[in-house]
Amino acid sequence: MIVKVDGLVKRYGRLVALDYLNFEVKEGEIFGLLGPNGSGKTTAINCILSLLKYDKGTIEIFGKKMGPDKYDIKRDIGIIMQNVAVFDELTVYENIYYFCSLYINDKEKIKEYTEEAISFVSLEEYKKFYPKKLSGGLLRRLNIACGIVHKPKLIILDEPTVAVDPQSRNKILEGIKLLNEQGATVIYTSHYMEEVEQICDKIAIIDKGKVVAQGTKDELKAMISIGEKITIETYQITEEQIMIIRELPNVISVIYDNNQLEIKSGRGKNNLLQVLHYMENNKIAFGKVFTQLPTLNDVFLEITGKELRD
Amino acid sequence: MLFHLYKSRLKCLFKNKENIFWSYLFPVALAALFYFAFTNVYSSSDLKTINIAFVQDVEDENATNLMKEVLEGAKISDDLPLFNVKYSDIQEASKALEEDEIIAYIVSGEEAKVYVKNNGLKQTIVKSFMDSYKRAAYTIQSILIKNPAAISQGLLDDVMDYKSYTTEVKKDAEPDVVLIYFYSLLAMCCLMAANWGLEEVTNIQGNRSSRGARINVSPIHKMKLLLINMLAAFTSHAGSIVLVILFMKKVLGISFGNNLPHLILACIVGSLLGLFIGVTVGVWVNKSSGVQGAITTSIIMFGAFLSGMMFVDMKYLVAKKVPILQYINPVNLVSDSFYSLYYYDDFNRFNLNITILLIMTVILCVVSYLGLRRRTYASI
Ligand SMILES: Nc1ncnc2c1ncn2[C@@H]1O[C@H](COP(=O)(O)OP(=O)(O)O)[C@@H](O)[C@H]1O
Ligand SMILES: [Mg+2]
Repeated sequence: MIVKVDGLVKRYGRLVALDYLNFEVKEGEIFGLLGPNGSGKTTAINCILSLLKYDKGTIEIFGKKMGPDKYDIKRDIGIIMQNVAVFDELTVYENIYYFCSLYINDKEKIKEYTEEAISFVSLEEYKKFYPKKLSGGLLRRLNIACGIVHKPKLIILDEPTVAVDPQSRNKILEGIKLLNEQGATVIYTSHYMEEVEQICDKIAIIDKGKVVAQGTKDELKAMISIGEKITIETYQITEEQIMIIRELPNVISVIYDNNQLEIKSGRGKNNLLQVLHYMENNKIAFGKVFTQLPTLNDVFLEITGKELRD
Repeated sequence: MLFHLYKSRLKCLFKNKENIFWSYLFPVALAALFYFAFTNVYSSSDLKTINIAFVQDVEDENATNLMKEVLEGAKISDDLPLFNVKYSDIQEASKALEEDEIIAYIVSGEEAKVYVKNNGLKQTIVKSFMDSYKRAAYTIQSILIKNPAAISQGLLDDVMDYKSYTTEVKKDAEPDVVLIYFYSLLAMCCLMAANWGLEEVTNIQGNRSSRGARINVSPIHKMKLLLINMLAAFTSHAGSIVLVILFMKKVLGISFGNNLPHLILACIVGSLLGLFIGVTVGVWVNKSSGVQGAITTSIIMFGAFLSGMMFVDMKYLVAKKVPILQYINPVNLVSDSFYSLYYYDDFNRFNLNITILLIMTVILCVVSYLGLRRRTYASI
């Protein structure tokens, strides 16, 4: 087990930010911590890193109890925080070099690692630039390079893609996968379910400081009753007809909004077919039809009763 | 690698324009401002005859007579003598000094000594007059050894031209009150190292900046990195102090006495204390960086105010009404160290000041160490 969080409780005054949080991260995983803003992701990360005092619970990293002075554990961790944490007065190269030298003593090795990190985030052309001169996406990449330059075994990223253009975001996600392939275990927090679905092997969905569900994305989707989502474009359906569709076998819910009929049904065959039959028999004209598998958003919605993104 | 961390930190400090402004340009500008403001105010003040006592040393009559002659001959203007000299024994003289009947008394001898009770313009005049006399006496002696006949050739009048000397004394002495301002200013500059201390400790705390968080999760020992960073800050600070001293000395012509090593010692000790004042505030005051900065600056500015930087009588007022304040106000301790180097022949007062400063530094050092050790933050 790389990280084991057991019964973690953190209060800010009367606000309970983490409420008996439990999860485990196995070696080689990309572990996603998915939850809406304010659900306690950053708080959890800060507790894990001993940056924050917590009220209850235990945290083990690499099988050892974590603490502020556990330098041997810290040596193998790399963090990338939500806010860019670099020195404005140092160049791209100097920043990466500096953070590397906090971990490593051998000068040649630092140089080598620094170069590697620079090419990993493709900042070769910006080596001599000061952070102020970099665009948002490049700055994020620098931030990542500073966090991973010492080749940590465990990499923790806290919402690294917030306010990043799609192109840089993809680069970042690909980079994380690559680091994982090279052997690093990754903890990735986000409130974007698409990202988490895209890269994470295992996901814990958290809300109000509690893990409400965890597993692989397929396991998570299997947990809920919805099997598929059918969306039909139609302009002339009546209230009664909607009522009838709602009563069809296996249908869970029907919403008609903005000329879109959205039907959620349980797992099973013929879900789409029976609806289309009904439409045809009752001469209801319809346009585009498509079906979707449930998303993590549906999982979140079903478990907590609210949308992941507000 | 430690040296590299030090170098990087130094680069950060020097590339920070705000730092450079506040620590390098601001003190120099302030010194220049003081210069223009105060030199005018004080050159208009009048000089009055000064009451002094003279205690004769019977063993060295020649020297005594010469000194007597010189003291009596000194004049402010043609009909106004500089000194009103009373001859007495040492008990009488010290009693008179105690009761403020005289400003100073002089004991003649191999090495003439000046005793004063307080600091002030008149005391300064007596002291610098005697300094000047000693130099002159030395010159006379060395000439006489080579050429004994010189004495009859009017040498005495040439070397110790007291008529012109009084105007010189006046010129010399006036900025000496201004010295208090400049000494306080320099003391304040030293203690302004507090801002560096605060900045360094802020930088290294996990709950103050995301950079601090990143440093805190790295395996480097926090106390070690803090020391390296403080050393870098101290280097930059020392540069600014050297600049201010050079500017005051070379450009504004402010005198710092002749005791350079002790002056430097006082600057170093004062800066160290300043540094740790900032560290302590950074560690123990659980407020935003803005509030911490304001607290640090207020402590120093208030200290500077009490030590007479804004108006000089404050220093005397404090000494009279709440004497204990002199000994706990760091700015006063530092400026008074400069001061005592200039005024006193022995180092008693200087040593006392430096000792108190060092004790304060050690206390703050321990206090901030206790705060920093193994700290995990209750809230980020
Ligand atoms: N320093 C703090 N003081 C008080 N409350 C805080 C503090 N930091 C976070 N919180 C609260 O704790 C909860 C969890 O916050 P956070 O961990 O930042 O969530 P996330 O990272 O998932 O967006 C939120 O309700 C937030 O308002
Ligand atoms: Mg967060």
